[in-house]
Amino acid sequence: MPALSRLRTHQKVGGALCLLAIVAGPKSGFPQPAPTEYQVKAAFLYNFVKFVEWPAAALPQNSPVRLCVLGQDPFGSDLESTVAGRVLNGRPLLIRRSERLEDLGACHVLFISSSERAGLATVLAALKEASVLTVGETDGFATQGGMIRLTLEENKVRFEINVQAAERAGLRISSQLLRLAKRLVGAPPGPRD
Amino acid sequence: MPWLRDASIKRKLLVIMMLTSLAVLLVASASFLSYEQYRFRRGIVRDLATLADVIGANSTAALAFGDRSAAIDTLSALRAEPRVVLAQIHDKDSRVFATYRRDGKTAPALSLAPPPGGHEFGADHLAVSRPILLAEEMVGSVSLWSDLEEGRARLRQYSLIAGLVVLGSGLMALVLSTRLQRVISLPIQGLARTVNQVSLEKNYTLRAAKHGEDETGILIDGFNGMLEQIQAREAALFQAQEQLERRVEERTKQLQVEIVEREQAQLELDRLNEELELRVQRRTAELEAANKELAAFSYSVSHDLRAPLRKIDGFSKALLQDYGKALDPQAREYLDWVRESSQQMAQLIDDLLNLSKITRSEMRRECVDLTALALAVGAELRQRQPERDVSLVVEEGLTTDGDPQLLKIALQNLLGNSWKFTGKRRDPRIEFRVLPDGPSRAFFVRDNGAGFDMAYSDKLFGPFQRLHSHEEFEGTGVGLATVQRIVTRHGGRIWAEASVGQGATVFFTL
Repeated sequence: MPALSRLRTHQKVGGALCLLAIVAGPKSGFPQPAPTEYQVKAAFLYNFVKFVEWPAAALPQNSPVRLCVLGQDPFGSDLESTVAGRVLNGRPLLIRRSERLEDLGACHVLFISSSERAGLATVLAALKEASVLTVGETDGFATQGGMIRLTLEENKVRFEINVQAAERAGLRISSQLLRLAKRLVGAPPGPRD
Repeated sequence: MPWLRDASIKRKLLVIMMLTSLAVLLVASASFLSYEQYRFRRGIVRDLATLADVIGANSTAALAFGDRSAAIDTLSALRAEPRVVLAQIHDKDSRVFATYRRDGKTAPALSLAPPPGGHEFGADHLAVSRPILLAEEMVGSVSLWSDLEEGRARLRQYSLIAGLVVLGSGLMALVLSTRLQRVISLPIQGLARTVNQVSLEKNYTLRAAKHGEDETGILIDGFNGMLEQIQAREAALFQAQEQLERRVEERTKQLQVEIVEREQAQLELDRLNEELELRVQRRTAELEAANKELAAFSYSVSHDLRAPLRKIDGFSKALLQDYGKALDPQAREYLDWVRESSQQMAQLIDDLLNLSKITRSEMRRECVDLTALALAVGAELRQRQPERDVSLVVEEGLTTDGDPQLLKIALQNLLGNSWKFTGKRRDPRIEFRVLPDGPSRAFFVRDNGAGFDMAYSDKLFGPFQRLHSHEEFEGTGVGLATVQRIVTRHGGRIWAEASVGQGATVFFTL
């Protein structure tokens, strides 16, 4: 049964590899090294954009989507290589980095580096009413008012979502994304809890 | 269909109607089943595509974030769809991302997934693939394999229904056509029965019953019309036959009467014939006797008359010689007349003797050269009267069968006559020839002498009949009678043609 055996062969491929392939596109085939943690996280950042809806005021039609990194950048060039040249629903993607929130200007996705752990509450409070998807890595990021916290679990990248915070910011997160979340914070009990 | 050729009309109609109904029903059922199967396939493709689209839409995040368990979870919703045997989500590089199996690990032999957007029917399954799109980008595909059990079940169900419908309709068609075929078969059967009866019984007064004005009605009308004609002709024929028989009978009776009459007439005729024969024989005998008597009488008379005549002549001659000088001229002239008359009488007696000799003498037949005979007679005549210059033309090679002596006498008389009657012509000419044609050969003697009036031709051949005076031409009037007798004795015929002054021709056959 060649069909079946082929199917099985496919199944042996690791999930991380798969993921990278989805992000990197068909140009990057076999063989390639296993993706690093931040390569995967960069892809996650990019994919979050697809499953989140911003209010029209915050993100008018055809305006670019701004991806901002606050604090010490853990991605290096991975973020650029993930996003480079990509257009989402007619929107180009722009990347900004800064140590200070004020310098970043209007952002749609804000990755708050672990280096900003100390000032996290301040930053989140500043963004409380803004339509910015906040993503972080620090423990309790979601419970503190951040929207998505990326975690590493059994060598796999997972995430938690604070639905309440997102709703407050006027962001609509796709139910599919919610379904994939390891944990939902501030949400009514869902099928995954 | 040879097996149907000798079947009755009723059976033919039934078979035709049943076959037609069955064929129609079968075609309709087959069409229905084919269409149903086609609709089922189209429907199942559409259903599976929709299902795959739903699965795909629910798997975008799982694919985007590499969450296999979420994808498997999504796929497990397919349990509600028992016909799906196998489902797979592939990533954008066609690698299997998640798999669902209906029956655990045992999987049937399935084809490969078709390209996204397509579908493929296998022997007992259908494979459908749909792309998974995320933000206008294909991030993978969903493939579903479904068994076709539902289609089969539906096919079985519909086949059963179609079978029942065919059976029911067939039964209804049988009942209906059994009833309806009578409209056609009953009149034809009736006609066939009548035809049989007519031909068996030869009864032409029968008529076929008519049921309607259709073609069968026309046929029956025509048949009845023919029967009428046959009946009329039969009657006429019968009448004619009777008439004929009557006439034959009448005629037979008539003929029988006629036959009897004829037999009687024949008997009468035979009797008369016999009588006639007897009378002829008697008369012939009488005639022969009379003839002989007459001949003997004339012979003896002639013979006896000759002696006194000779004495008259002899004494007249002696008187003239011895006493001539004593007699005056008047007396001598009288004596000359006596002598001349007695000599003439002697000649007459000779001729009569000849004639009776010809009648009495025996006939002797042999081949006679008439040419030579005629030339000899001519020579005799010339010797007797050498001063005359008569041109005699005799045809060469005339022969016949006859008595030479009698024929010589005949020619002597005929040529002698011509010689005599041409005596007053300056250029006398006599011919003896034969007519070139005619049923029997006719010889003729032609001269350019005095001729005679045809009004007296019936007297020409009688004895002692003369058409000229003795002073004009001498003769006894016995010559042509002699010739006629000779010709008659030879079984021939004699006749003459002439006109006064133009010569005469005497024809005779032998």
